[in-house]
Amino acid sequence: MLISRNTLRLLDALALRSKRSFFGLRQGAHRSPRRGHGVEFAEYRNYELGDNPRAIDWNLFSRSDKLYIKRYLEEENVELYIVIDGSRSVTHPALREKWDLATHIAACASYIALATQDPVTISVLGGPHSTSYWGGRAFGPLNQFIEAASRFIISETHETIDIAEEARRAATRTRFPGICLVISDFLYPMNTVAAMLGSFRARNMEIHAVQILGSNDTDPAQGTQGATLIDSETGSSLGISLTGENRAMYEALLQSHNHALREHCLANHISYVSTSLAEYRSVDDASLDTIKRMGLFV
Amino acid sequence: MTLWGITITAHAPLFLLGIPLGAALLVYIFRARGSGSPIVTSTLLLLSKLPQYMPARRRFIPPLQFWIELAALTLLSLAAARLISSESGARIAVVIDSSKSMATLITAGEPRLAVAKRLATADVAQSLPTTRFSVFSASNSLQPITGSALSSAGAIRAITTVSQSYSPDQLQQFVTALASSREYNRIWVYTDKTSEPVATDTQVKIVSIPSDLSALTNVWLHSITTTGKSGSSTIEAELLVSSKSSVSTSVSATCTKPQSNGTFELPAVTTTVAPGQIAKVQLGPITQPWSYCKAVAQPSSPAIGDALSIDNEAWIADSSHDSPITLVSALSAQQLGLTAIPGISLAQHTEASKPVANQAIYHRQAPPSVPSQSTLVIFPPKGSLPWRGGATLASERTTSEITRWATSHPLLQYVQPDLLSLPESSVLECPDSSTPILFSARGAVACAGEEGGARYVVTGFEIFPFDGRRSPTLSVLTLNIIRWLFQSGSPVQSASGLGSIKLPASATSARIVAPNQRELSLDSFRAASITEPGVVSIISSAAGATGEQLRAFNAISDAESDTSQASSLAITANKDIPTKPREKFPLEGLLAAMALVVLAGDLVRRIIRRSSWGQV
Repeated sequence: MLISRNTLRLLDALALRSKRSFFGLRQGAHRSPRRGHGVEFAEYRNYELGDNPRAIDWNLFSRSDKLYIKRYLEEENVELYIVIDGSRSVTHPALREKWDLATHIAACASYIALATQDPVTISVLGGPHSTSYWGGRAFGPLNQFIEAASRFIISETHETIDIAEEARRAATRTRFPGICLVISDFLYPMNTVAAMLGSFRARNMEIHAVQILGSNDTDPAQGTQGATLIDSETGSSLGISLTGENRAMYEALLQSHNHALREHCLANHISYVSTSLAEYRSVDDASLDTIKRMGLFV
Repeated sequence: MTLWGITITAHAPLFLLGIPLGAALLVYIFRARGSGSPIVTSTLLLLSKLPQYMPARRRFIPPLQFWIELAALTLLSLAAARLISSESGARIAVVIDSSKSMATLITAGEPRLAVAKRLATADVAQSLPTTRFSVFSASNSLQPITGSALSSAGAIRAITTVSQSYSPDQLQQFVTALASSREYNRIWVYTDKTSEPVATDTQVKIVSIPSDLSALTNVWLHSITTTGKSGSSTIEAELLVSSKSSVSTSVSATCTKPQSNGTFELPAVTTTVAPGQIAKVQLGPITQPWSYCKAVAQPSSPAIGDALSIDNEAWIADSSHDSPITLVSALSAQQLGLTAIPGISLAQHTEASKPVANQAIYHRQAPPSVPSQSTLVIFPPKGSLPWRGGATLASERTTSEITRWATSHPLLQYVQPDLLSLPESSVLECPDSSTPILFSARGAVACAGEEGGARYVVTGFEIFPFDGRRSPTLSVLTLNIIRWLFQSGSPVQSASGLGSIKLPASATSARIVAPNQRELSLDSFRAASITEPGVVSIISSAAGATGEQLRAFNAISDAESDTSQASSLAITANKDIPTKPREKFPLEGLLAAMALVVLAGDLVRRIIRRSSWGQV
């Protein structure tokens, strides 16, 4: 997986913008709930002993003969948690396009966040331990991630993972609330999806769900009238007749599932974007468009 | 197994079990792989909600890979079974007599050949589809028509192309040869001959063309000759008839002037021809120059129909323009007694070192090179090479007796060689192309042969001077030699029969000038086949030789023309003679090659798709 030079140039023009304010560990570019030494005025409060006299608004004292402390909004960094669905429905060799797109989007998002001094943590559910990167222009670790992602393909004999449990474990490993970018095909029962997203929502994160659908998801077993379909997650097979009527029925079922997913996200203040590689000419185009539609990077 | 006349047998039929077993194994393997066409999908979460028509295990939809592997397995099993193909249907030889007599119009006004072709076509059309035919046209040679192993439709097409020939037939010989070849299960012969004995259910079936012989009348020319020199020659024709009673016949002739296409008619002569008796007719004398004539004999009365018209015509060419025989000798023709021999003209030639282009007599000389014309070499000097490969003197000249001789040779007709006592003779080393005709106790002393279209005779003893009173036996031999070598030495010139002619070495080209003008195609041996009566012009470029020589060819055959005599074929009842084993074609190589092609195609397909064996 490589991010083209042209894509990098376009990514340079973007910046991470959270909808909410989070406490950060370092000075950054995001509004923090913490009052501090920012440039944007926040509020006045009565002077108390121990306050720094330099924060007293003397103009207001001259008008009111009362001591007030002028408080400013603090600007701190925000941690971006990228959670990639590492289940077999994404990482199966026959479905590799989804994994490629997911890791590409994660890499692009990481690049933008790192450029604005924001730390990034990438977690692959069901995969190796999560990897964290601190902000800065040192993209070496990111390159390592990209290289590792290129090699990370779960074999066909891999055990089926419990995606909700994996999400819960990943959520417990987060230290502070931040922005959580969940990249998955979300082709699970809605209660599983709710549990998966709920784990991060419980950590008070700003969640952005990116649904990635492969060409086989939108049009299974193209060009065949009848086929035996194998579930990449469980290995179970299903002989099915894929007539035009059945395909139309499947399309309606997929739209219904996505609609339910969208409703769930709206109800839980989760940003939702669905993308399919089949609609784009290349992974670069798909990633860039998805990132723009996400509303997280402006 | 028999299919479309092809029998396919297997040397190792047990390997054929590999096909069903292999097919079953393949089905099992493909099912064991999951299904006929397994496709990995992210999840069956939504797909499982679709109506399922048939479980995958029950519905086996073979993919392309299955068919490729099944085809390769089937081909390899067939190759291992060592399949062999061979013809299964009967092989029948259809022999249609196309000899001259088949042109006879039978009572229905139709030639026998047309009836024979019609009957053969009907028989072939009723045969089994697996039967294979070979069609032959039989006259003086057995000509296969358009290959062998024809289907019935092909055989019918071939039968329609059989054409009338002018030659006499040798059907008995051909049928016997075909029957003994064991190539054919049956031989169908369509001829005007009858089978004798009348045999049914034998290998050879004779279909005789029905005709009422007693009602047929046929007049034909038995022979045609010219006599006399240019300016006073006459044409003498002999006639025969096959009829119940005598037939008044008119004979006329049309002659062509030399160096032009102008013709003139000779007055017709009418004579009565009695059955079984030769009637002679003289036309002429021809008082003006002529090159060749065409004589035609016809019944005088139009009411008498002539059954066979192609034997009523004959051609004759003027031979009086032949050059004289060159005598190469130290003695004159008078000293040698040659002037006593009637009908030959001689020209003395004393320079033996120069080649002679004409017919020649070398007396105690040897030709310096191979002659291109008929040559007689008498008593050549010791060690000379009078002919290529050379007859040479092998011993001293001694008195010898003739101990044995070639009795049937025409040179020894009316000769009693045992009466010959040769005071001086030498043994010859005869050329390969010659036949020794006289032998002494120490070897051949005379040989005769033909090379390059020219005849030659070499004698190792003296035959001159020609004196019938003192040495009658030797004189008869001399006359035979003169007649055999130099036909112009005879006052009679007759036309030749059809067949192959070989041009002399000096001839540069030959063409038919009558009845139609066309070039004569020569083979690599300077020989040409004359299939129709007519006149052939042979152009020679040798110095001293005649520039153009005309030769007439006729198809005179009394046996073919005599419609009153029904001939028969002697057929041996050989019902169950086994035919030769049919030629068998092993198919294992072809099948193995086809299997390789299938596997190679699959390999290419996989390379294109960048797939591998293990990938589903």
